[in-house]
Amino acid sequence: MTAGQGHYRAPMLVPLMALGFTISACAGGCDGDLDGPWTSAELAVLASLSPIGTPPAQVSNRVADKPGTAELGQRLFFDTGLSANGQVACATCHIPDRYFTDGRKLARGIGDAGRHAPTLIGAAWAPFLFWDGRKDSLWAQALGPLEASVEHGISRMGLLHRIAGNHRDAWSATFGPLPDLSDGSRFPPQARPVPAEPKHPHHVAWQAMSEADRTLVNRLAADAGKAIGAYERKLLPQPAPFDRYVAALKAGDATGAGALGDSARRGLRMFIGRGQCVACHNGPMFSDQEFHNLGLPRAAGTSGVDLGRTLGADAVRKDTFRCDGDFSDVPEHQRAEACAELHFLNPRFTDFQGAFKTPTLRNVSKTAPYMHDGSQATLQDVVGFYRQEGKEPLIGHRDLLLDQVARDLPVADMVAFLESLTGPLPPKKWLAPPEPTP
Amino acid sequence: MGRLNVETLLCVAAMACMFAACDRKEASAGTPAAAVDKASDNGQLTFPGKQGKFTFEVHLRPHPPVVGQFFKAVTTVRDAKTNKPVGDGTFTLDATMPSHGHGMMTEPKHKAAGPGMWVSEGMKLHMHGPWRISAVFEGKDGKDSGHIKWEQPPGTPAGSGPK
Repeated sequence: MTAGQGHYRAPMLVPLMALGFTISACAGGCDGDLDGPWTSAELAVLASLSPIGTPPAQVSNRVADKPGTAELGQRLFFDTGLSANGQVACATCHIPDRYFTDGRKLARGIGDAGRHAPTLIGAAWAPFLFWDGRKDSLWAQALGPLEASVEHGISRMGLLHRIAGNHRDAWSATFGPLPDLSDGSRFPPQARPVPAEPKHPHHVAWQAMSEADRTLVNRLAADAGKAIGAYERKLLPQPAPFDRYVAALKAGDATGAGALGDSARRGLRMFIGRGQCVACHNGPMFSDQEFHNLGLPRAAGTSGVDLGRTLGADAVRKDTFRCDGDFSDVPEHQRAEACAELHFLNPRFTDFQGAFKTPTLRNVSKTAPYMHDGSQATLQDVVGFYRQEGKEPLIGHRDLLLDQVARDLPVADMVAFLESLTGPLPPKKWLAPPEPTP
Repeated sequence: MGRLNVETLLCVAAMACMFAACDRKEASAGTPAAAVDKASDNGQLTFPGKQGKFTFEVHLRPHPPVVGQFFKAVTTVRDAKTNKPVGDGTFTLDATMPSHGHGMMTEPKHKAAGPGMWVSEGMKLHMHGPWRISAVFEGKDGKDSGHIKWEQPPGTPAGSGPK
């Protein structure tokens, strides 16, 4: 994959750089003002941001792209029966019409979660999921909120009972017949490991199960997660005005087909230039998929110090459903390469303290509020945050890169550019619960 | 004729100014001026140790790496006086962004691959811009370290990890 990516760049960059040379040489205006023509260096950066492309393969999920699996995952995604109070589904916090966010500062399921609900559109590109990266696949991530007491509040055992009662046929179409889980003495209504709470009824029930039954339940739960992951792979960002602009430049149209106005173009130049935004918000998802400490103040409504990636990096290496774990579909002999992100993860990276994942900027105008704690209400607020002199965070060290961000970021221009990253929602087929099975 | 020559000269001078202006601007796309110390046509980065004991020859695979993608580095460590590959020892390779105050977020692994040769896996540059690649070797003749600037071009990270 690495070599292939390298080959991919060359044919794109050559015409862009040639175009840049032509424009730069002929049009003047190369004096650094925000309205001048694009240089070849700038065009190379633009080429790295668009087109969107396709997400990487899900090697740990054998059914990621199997026909019919996404529809099963879609059923599960919209099923409020997968919650302790019967009112919470994945779609409760990831609302399709809101670009799979909820518009709230902090997510709310059965109770109040401690972080903002990020968009799922484009999540298929992420090597690590959650703001702290404590999961390393879409399918493993999907199981987390189901068992979180403040989100869905159920267990992997409860998940499987629900599937047995309500989604059996759809399940069989993808995974074959669901094993008989009707023996309540072997398969209690709810059971999951809760090692931090040994007396939790879910944990007590889990401990009472046989090793073989626990393994079976883990395997089936992993498959349920893989179905949801397959659905989430369908939630792809759609081309935005920015993409049309870059495509037109590549085609030799120096006006970019007029896809961006003057203000957005000025914002874009600042974004990839003195603003330094592109350092972290890079690639087609406008995210380096890494973790940074911005020195955000503690958000109202939260308490304590959020260690962020420090906890996530530790958790993902111990996760039952990790890429090189027993329930991954990566063959044993391929795990070192296929699970490279996990294999080469540095859990002792000091700057992980208080660091959170760089969010995608695709569709960012539709996913307010912003930051892991939802502390920035608008895009204007976000730009304003970066214009300020930074303060040391509550924990860890503020990323030094922030000191290089231009303090004169033009707010209106930056917002105009960010708004140009919004495209349509994913295809309508994926935006609502599937039709009930006859 | 004389006037034409003047106009021609002015035109050439104006074009030269435009190119010069563009040259300055070329370095401003979030990327300080190109600063690779020394790289041969085959992509080999060669730099000496600070103590003058060893020379490091680093090949990046692919060259250049792609932002956000894992790459390998094959390094040959040579005795600075004899130019022969060194013997057994401990070798590490790292990459940092001094101007940003951080390094890679991965933990590469370095495996001996032949006389004086190590393969580093798990390298990943998550940003384009000015990086510093550093090597350290310690063998029977002592310890030495060196570094070289590396200007990472922008790339297209489509994701490389487990899913």
